[in-house]
Amino acid sequence: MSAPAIEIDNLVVRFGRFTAVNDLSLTINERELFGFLGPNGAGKTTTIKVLIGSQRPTSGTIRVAGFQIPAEFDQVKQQFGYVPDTENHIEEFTGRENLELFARLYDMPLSTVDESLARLELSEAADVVVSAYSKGMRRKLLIAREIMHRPKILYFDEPTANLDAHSTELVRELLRDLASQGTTIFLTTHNMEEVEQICDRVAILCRGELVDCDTPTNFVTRHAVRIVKAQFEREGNVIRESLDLDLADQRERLAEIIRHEKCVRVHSQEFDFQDVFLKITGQAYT
Amino acid sequence: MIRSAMIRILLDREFRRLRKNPSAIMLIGLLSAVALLMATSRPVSNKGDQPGPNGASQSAVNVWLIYDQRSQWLDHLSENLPDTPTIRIVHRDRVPIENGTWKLPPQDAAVEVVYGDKFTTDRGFALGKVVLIGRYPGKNAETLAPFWNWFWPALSEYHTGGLRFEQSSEPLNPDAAHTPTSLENTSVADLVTNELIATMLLLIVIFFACCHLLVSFTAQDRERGTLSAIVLSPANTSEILLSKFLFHLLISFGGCLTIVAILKPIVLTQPVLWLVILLSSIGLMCVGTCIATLAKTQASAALLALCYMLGGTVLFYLSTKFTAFYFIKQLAFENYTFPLLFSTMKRPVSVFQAPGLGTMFVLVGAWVGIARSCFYRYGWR
Ligand SMILES: Nc1ncnc2c1ncn2[C@@H]1O[C@H](COP(=O)(O)OP(=O)(O)OP(=O)(O)O)[C@@H](O)[C@H]1O
Ligand SMILES: [Mg+2]
Repeated sequence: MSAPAIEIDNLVVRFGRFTAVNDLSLTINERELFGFLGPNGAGKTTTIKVLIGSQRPTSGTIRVAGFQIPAEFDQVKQQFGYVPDTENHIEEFTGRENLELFARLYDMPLSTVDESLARLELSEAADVVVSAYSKGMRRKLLIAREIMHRPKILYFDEPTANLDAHSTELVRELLRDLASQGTTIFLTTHNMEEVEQICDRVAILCRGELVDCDTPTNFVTRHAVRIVKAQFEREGNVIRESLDLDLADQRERLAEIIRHEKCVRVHSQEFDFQDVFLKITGQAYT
Repeated sequence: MIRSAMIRILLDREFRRLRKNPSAIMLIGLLSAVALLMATSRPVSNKGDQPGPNGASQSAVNVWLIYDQRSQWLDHLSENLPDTPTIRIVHRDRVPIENGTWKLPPQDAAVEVVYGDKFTTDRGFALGKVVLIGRYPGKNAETLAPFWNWFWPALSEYHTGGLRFEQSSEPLNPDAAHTPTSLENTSVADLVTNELIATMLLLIVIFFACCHLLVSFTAQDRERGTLSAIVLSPANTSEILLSKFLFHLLISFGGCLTIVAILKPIVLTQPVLWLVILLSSIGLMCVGTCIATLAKTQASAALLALCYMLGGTVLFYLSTKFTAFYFIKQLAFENYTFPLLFSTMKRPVSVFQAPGLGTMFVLVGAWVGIARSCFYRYGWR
């Protein structure tokens, strides 16, 4: 693994007496595609806002690409891109005008505008004013804008919200591409399928506290509950039983059922990342 | 560090936005149209300009301005005497007297300066009322109209230092048939001159372009998050602020230039005019920046800008009554804008002799500091 791209140490963010992020410590490596998950109101957006320097932390230290945030914000800001959870386009400009403004600010050749638009399949809508864009188109335009200057670190706050199936796939493909080309990606999402598909590592935040941090596969193997459901008939009644394969007596019981009962159906229950997430955050809530 | 390329890009963006929202500067077009109409149409015939019923042409009337106590505003007036009517400013002791009453040449009128309930604050500031009693020959109070037409505008160029002026009239010869006379008898039209209207139009343009428009655009940028997107780009905060200021300054200058060019093009060459417009514009842009950064939403920012304008107006009225407001007013750079603009409208004023220009410079400088730190701290967060 290479040098850390983002280091968060004991980050605390309070709004008045309310603590939105509590003692969060995380290290994200270069070239990593890092998923930052949590239920609504967990503090994900707040954390990203601290990372980009728009929210002052109450305490804790943050280093992005080796620079302190917010003290060295001016030196580091060109190295990252930020796709916020709400679009911030210039509404009266067309999609192309929006991107052109930022291309000029970042001193990129104007040809990158067309490349970026084509990449997100927005070429046709390029000359339509943004106020006439659909939600998904706005989202894609935002992503197109932020990848244009080829940042080293990209923050995505729910990049695939409001996207149709095809566009979602397009964006995931793009994220994978960017990561393979060396971009560090820090993303939040509520789409668990996406997490399993693309994230290298995942942190789960709940009520401002870090609950766990690992790879999605490890999460599933560590938290998976292996349950088999059996359905059989006895004296005209249908009986259902759930059996946990991690317990010896229940494994015995399953063998017994298969051997002696008239089984209608025996099936194992799938356990994916979504179940892990629900289990972990559910526990954290109770 | 300020990079001109960044400024150019950001300025270009502001102008593009304006081109897509032309209604944003409709007010300036409207005011220019007003100016154009003023310049091209004939004035409504004014009672004061016509000979009075006693047959005497009023412009021939000489006026004696009679005082007991010499003061600064009188000095100011004596330096700015008009060609007509001929006005003589004299001490009471020097007015010819016969049988205990004034003996003025026939057809001459007198205006007596009487200090009303005057008091002095502990800081030595005189606050109080000055009543000007116009005494006209014959029966017609309108005889004095040319005097008032000169007096009020000339006075308003001068800082009255907390004094409140009132006008009243009565016949010089009490035996003459009494015509009811009071301020109500004087038409407002007598007090309003083209220079006064031009000054008001300029004030509106400056306030609108620099305070209202800036608040509205900046708050919109903040609310939509566009500002934070631009702050995250390589453009730094100083460049963003400077480009905004340049944009609004250009609109303000453009609007003022149009109005002055239509109403009184000769004033365009006056450096004081542009200096005052520049200083007031910068000051108001700073106020606007503070309002836009401290307000949470565009709606509340627009309301705050309105409060600022109305609050300022109320303050100016109260300042003639209460010392506290009087001192607050001295700290407002807008206090100096009106008299300076108005005097330049009337006649050339030297940069070095313009009263209040230096104070204005200092006050606006302070506002620049406040706005800068406000924008740096809370501008996009
Ligand atoms: N400016 C603010 N003032 C007060 N409280 C705030 C502010 N911003 C965020 N919060 C609170 O902090 C908590 C975390 O908010 P945040 O937006 O970070 O959640 P999130 O994890 O991004 O949620 P979601 O998944 O819904 O986007 C919430 O309870 C929110 O109410
Ligand atoms: Mg969020």
